[in-house]
Amino acid sequence: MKLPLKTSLVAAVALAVPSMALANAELLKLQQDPNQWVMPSGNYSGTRYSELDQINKGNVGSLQVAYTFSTGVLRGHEGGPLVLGDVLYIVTAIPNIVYALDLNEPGRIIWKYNPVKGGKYPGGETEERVISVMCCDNVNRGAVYADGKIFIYAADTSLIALDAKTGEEVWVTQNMHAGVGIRAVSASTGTSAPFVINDKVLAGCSGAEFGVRCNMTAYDIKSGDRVWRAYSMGPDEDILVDPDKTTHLGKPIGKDSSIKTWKGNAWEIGGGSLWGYWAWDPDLNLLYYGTGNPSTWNPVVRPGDNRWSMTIMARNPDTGMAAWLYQMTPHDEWDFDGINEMVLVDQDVKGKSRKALVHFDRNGFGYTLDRATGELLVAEKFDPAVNWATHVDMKTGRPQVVPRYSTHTGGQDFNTTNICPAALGSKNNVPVAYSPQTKLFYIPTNHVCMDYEPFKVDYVAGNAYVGATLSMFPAGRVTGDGTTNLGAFVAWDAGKGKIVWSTPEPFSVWSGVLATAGGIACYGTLEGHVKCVDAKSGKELYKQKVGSGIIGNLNTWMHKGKQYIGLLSGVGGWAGIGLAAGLTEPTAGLGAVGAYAALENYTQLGGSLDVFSLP
Amino acid sequence: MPTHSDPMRKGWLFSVALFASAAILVPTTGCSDPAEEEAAAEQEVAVEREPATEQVAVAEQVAAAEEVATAEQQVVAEREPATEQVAGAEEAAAGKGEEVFVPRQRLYTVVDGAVDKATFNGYRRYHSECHVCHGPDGLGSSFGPSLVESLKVLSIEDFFEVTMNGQVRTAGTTKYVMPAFGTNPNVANHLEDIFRYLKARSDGVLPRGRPPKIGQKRRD
Repeated sequence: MKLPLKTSLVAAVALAVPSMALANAELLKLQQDPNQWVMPSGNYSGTRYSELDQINKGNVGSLQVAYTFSTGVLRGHEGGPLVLGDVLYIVTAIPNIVYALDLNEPGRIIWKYNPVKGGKYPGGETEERVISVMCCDNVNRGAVYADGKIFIYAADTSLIALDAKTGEEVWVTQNMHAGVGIRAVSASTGTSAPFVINDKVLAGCSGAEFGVRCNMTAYDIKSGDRVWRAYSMGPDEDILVDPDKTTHLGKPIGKDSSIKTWKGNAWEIGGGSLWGYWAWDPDLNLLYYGTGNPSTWNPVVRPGDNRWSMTIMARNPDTGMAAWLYQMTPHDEWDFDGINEMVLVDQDVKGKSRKALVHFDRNGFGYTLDRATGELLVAEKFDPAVNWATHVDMKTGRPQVVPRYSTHTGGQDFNTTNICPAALGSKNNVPVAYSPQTKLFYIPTNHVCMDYEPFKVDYVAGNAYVGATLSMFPAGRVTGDGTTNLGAFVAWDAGKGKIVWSTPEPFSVWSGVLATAGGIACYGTLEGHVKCVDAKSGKELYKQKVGSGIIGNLNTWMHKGKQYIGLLSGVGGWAGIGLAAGLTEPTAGLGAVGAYAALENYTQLGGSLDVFSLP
Repeated sequence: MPTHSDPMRKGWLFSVALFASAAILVPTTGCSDPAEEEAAAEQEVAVEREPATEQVAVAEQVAAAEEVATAEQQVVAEREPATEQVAGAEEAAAGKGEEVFVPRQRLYTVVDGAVDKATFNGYRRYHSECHVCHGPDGLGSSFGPSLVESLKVLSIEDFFEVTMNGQVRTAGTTKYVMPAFGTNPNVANHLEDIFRYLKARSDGVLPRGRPPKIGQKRRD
């Protein structure tokens, strides 16, 4: 397997040279055009910021619904609309239907593509089998445009290139395997959006709760041929590192950096999934992404740092070779997946302008790193409730774990209580926005804590491999401050590592944020409100209820001189699982029983595209 | 379904059949004798560890023999049938003026919110494998049905059938898939215990959250 990979890598690089410049130039230009929205994060830097200012803090109060479109699919809808010229593209939850909608005649379907035919996905797995190995609802985080094609990554891990004009399949390739196969490739699923850099389209991997060994894989955008694959853990040749040149906090990682941090061959089913939103710095030519939790959730059976799970990775997108790595949560004991998005912006840190990478991790720390070198600049809590670690040691990069909250120290069959944050993380995968106007990040956060009890489970290929039970409750039960909110919309200074303001929300904020030159930041709530606030002060300026709860992202574009803000609504995902029935009742002293209302009392299923504009 | 899983499935169906023929499952809420509870729990541990097939049946019979006397009284006291068969049997028995049936198997025990070991195992297995669709404490999610509600009408036979072999229904373009857990030892080998836990929740005798174990001092 190694030899063909190397061969195809050489061949692909040689072949790709002529087309590279074209695709590269086109997408680099398009992502800068505020009239369009051609990739999930809006641009390669992942800022989710738009220069459009027709809708601004002066008039956003009169925003209204322009049109809505039912996707015909229930279940959780993540991701958001892409806009290219006169066409808007959306991808639904399983079966992952793609709609191309006419902006000149809102809601008219130009084409519709369903990857499931005769009950089966392109890779041959049935829709039922694929659904049965989705860890947390049937979500999909959207499409990306490049080279005249719309790329989607379907739930069965089929990477699919469609003709953007007709919706016809240009090519389809199978990345992983959702079926029952051998160790490490069984029960893998696709939930992330593909990402295009130059002549390559990248696919991630979900399934850390099924013992999958995940990887980032690059395919040629013309042919669909595989170019490189970098596993999150395993031997050096599998994880595409150079022991002498790849660094961790400035030092070479050395030989066998991953496998020597696992017991035996546990890395073979080590998890390390990657299903967030990724970023690329064209000048440094580095791709940035985060890897997820090591499997299982029972830390006792996998002693060691479990590298390179929970890691921010910077790789050369041409070869996949890692430039630097930074492991945020060595030896995870709480399911603090490191997959959240990376945002590439210049930030003033201690009076010096740095080419920064900013990342808000599930573990509750907001990290600012030098994106060229991987130097750790800032690591501070973006939710004051975070208690599992006191701080991050800036020299070693290691979180200083509080023994009382270590589920490994507690051990198997012991219930470690009152850990903040919960496994949901202080923030889950829904992406932040950054406004260069205010120099602030806008973070959709969870304010939830948990009890966590690891125990021994058996691994059987193709089946769930979890190994812990947990119960979640409002952070106020731990902090004792009398609050009952489960979320907050937070403004953050990444140079200083400080919360600037924080607006409590009754439920977790589980939608991707949009910031614009109009001085506003907009987000959705789990109950189904679209909200726009003053980006400086956080003051609410607009609020509108849509059909179902929002776990998708808000995007914006301009069509025929009019600015629109659009999103996918449709409650679900992990939020829809954990919060539908409400969280565990609080202990006495924290308000009346029933103070924590169930999400199901506010919203029900229903996938829809909702588009807003000024009158 | 791959062939390698078949022995396990057959074994389980056999076990289900035995369970069903024993058939009489009685909740024993508020049982007053902790010492006896501990003894019962000891036996349930054996079930827990050797869950595969015949052993279960044997363990059930042993447990049943020892529990007959107490459980008989409890049935009369509670009049809370756990399954349809129980209800039917009681009515039939009443109509014919015969003796009330003798239960063969204790289902769960809840004393002041604490549960026997088997039910606790069910709690834990549920929250490792099942809650990702059916929500915390069996209360359902945005898409997964509340098993606290389902088990008010779902028989243990149907519960086993659906859990082992899966179930699919379609609403519009959305498929609702209950996966088949017949090949997942973390579910299949603990199915009875998961049922115990959910039935206790469904019967309204067990509150939300992690229940303490009977007779065990809490470490946390």
